[in-house]
Amino acid sequence: MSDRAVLTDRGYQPYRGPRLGTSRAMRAIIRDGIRRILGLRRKARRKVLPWLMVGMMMLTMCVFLIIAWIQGIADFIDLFDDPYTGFLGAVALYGLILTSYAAPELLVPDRRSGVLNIYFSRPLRVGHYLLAKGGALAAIVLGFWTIPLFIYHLGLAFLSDAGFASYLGGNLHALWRIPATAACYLLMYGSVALVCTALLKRVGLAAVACIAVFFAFNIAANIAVNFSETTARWLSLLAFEQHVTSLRDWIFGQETPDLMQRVGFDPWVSALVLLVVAALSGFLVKLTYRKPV
Amino acid sequence: MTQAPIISDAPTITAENLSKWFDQKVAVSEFTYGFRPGVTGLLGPNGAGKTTLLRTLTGLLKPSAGQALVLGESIRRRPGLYRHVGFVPEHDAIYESMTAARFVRWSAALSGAPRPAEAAERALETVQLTGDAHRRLGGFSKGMRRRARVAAALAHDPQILILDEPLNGTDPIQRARLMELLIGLGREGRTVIVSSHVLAEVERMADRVVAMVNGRLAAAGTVAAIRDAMSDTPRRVHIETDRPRELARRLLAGEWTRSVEMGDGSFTISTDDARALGGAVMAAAREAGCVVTAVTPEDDSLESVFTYLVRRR
Repeated sequence: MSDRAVLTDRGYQPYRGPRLGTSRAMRAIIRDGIRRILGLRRKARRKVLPWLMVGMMMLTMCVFLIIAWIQGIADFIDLFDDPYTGFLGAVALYGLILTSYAAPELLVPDRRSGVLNIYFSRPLRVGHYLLAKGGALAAIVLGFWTIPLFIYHLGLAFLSDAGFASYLGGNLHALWRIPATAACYLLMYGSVALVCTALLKRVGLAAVACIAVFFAFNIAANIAVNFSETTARWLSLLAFEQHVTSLRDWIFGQETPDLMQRVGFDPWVSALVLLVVAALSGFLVKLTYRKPV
Repeated sequence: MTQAPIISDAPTITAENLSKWFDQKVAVSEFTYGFRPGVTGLLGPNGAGKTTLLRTLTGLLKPSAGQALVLGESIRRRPGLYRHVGFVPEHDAIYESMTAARFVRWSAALSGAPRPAEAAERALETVQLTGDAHRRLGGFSKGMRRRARVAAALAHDPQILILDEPLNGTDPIQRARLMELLIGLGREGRTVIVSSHVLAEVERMADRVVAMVNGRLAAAGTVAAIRDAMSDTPRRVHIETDRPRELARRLLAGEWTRSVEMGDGSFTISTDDARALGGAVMAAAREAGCVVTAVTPEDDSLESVFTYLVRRR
């Protein structure tokens, strides 16, 4: 069969200049992911939920600082066992809602609009894609926890009777405790949110399912602890909210939460649960996004 | 001093005994072909396996057997090769909330273009979307979306461009523009693979065609070359003359003549050897003293060739 094409010099020379690597592609995905979660350059209704959560977080922080200012820092610290864990306990729900929304918002639209074909016909492996999406989630969630907490920390220092510099100097441990706690929230909330995202096809549904998982097991474990120790122990393993609270309190040197004490789970059990949940989540999501075979 | 051309007509994307099946369904079967620079039309009826072949060639699907090589290497093992490939899938794959400019810029950044903004601007200009660059894709017509997707695939200046049914849903003006664009890209020396089941489009665009039927390679080459290769299918030639019966009688004597159908002032002859017939017509006309006003091959069009190929399977 004759199939010889006759080509003269058609003028085209393939581009042989530098091309950017996978890291630049991943940065593009992270940047796009952050914009998407925050609803930047998108319709107003897309901005409502993320910015409402950011606003609530900042408002709560302001309320805490105002109380500290009115009551005096010493009374304020007495009011809560620890001003940091007290604040974190008050805003944990906002963080859960934001993470539950952010994870599916990052991944579900790609599946629904068919753009995975675009991603995977670019110099990216599935792992790069998922890592970059995880990077966008981490950037938002870590920012959500750490930025207000550091502002809060500075606010407490400003209000401190000991003086700004002395407070900061005396609370240097906040510099690692805040990011470490934020990482625990990210891993626990983010992992469960990603599992819900992998299993469900709608952003809203996945977000609601994620919040429901945290509430349902928490409530169930708290009820079960009054009736059956064995059931309570098993349910408590799945009471993810309690585990992240336990780790947070451990990081800030506070007592283990009541439920965890009653079922006899030390913080290391919570740390183990956190790692297992994160690993399972990673495995499941990778399985879902396996390149088609 | 003129610079020697870098490109050659060596295949840039190759399928070697490529097969792809999904459970019991064989979508592509032992497909072997080397796609060269220029426009290649991938033809086939619906369900012939065109999309599966393209997705396998681009590494989106893993071959069940055989291999697909891009620039001599497996693209699934070396995703870096995607920097030289632009792929436009069949279905709308866009973020509706993005503007065309941002979508193309994003795609350029994903593909490793060093200056994504400039690359996007150039690509949008190529597909004539500069004026609508800052409109959201959600508000675009189907044809404009297609052009935006082509721009996204072109932004990183790929050597190989693969388009799955790119002209579906476009209006005649947009279709003509897209075809001109693809012809131009092929003429530049890029490897452009366009799948379609609309033969007229492929005939206009493609330097050569690859026909698929039931997942198998049915034919490949230029339309004329394929027609020549179909030696088991007689060619039909329509002849107009002032004395059709006399001329037809003389031509029937030729051993290459299979049959003659008489018409009004013309006849159609089926022959196994079109070249021999061509020579004999003039000689017979001279002998019979007829005036031949037209000799027209009836089945040299892509449509006839394709119809034969599909029937044969």
